[in-house]
Amino acid sequence: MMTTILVLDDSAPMLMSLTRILKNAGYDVETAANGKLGMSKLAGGLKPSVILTDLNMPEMDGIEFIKGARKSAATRFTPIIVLTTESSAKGRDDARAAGATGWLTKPTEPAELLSTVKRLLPSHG
Amino acid sequence: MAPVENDRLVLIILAAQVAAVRERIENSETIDLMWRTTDVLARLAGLVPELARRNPGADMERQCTAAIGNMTDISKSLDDMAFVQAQRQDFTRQMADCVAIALARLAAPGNFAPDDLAKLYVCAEQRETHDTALRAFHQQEAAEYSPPSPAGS
Repeated sequence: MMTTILVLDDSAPMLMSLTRILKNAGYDVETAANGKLGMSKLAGGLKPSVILTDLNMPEMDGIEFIKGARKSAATRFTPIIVLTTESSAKGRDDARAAGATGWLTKPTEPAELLSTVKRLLPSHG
Repeated sequence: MAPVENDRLVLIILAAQVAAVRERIENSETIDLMWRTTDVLARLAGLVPELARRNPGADMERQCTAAIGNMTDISKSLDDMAFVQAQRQDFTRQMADCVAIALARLAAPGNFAPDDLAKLYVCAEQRETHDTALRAFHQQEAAEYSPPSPAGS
């Protein structure tokens, strides 16, 4: 069974680019343009192995999404990686307090993204 | 039209102009062109073995293998470049968003101070630019208002 990664970003080029990078690496990818749509996917039964989320998104931002995902039994322990332009210590602390597992600051390299995903996969990829 | 109304109108127009710039950033065709090129290369790489099969020979085999290798390398590089470009584009778009929101807030009734502007930032670079601009402003203000030094000193 393929490993599914849920990707949240409000930028269409970012979503497409992340999808291509992750699919080329052999992962199955589900996408959502904001936290609210991400929560809908989880409520619909999606059980991703890893979640990759932006912070600044309309409707529901990344922090609220992480808090929501942590309340769900299905994603309580799912690794959540934040991929964001925000690089402040406060932003990082807020994300960690909400339940984020990893943090990548944009711009990051594909190799760094893939190694972080692989490292955080429950089976270590 | 009263000066204040003129100011508001200029701010509203500027906010619309920045929003238009944001749209252009969002709809840039550069990344799409990279992906299309990658897809074309993948299709071509799929056809190369057929070329080798129809023209058997050690030299053709070697050239086809090299061509597939090159196409794979170029495709990976293009996908990597598109990923970095998409992130830069996202960053610029968010900065434009911030300026558009700030202009709209300035055009609306009420106060809008530098601290309010700082609350809209989404990255450290924006805060650094903010601090640099504030420092330059205060230095200039201090230079303009500093009392003349006594003659001969």
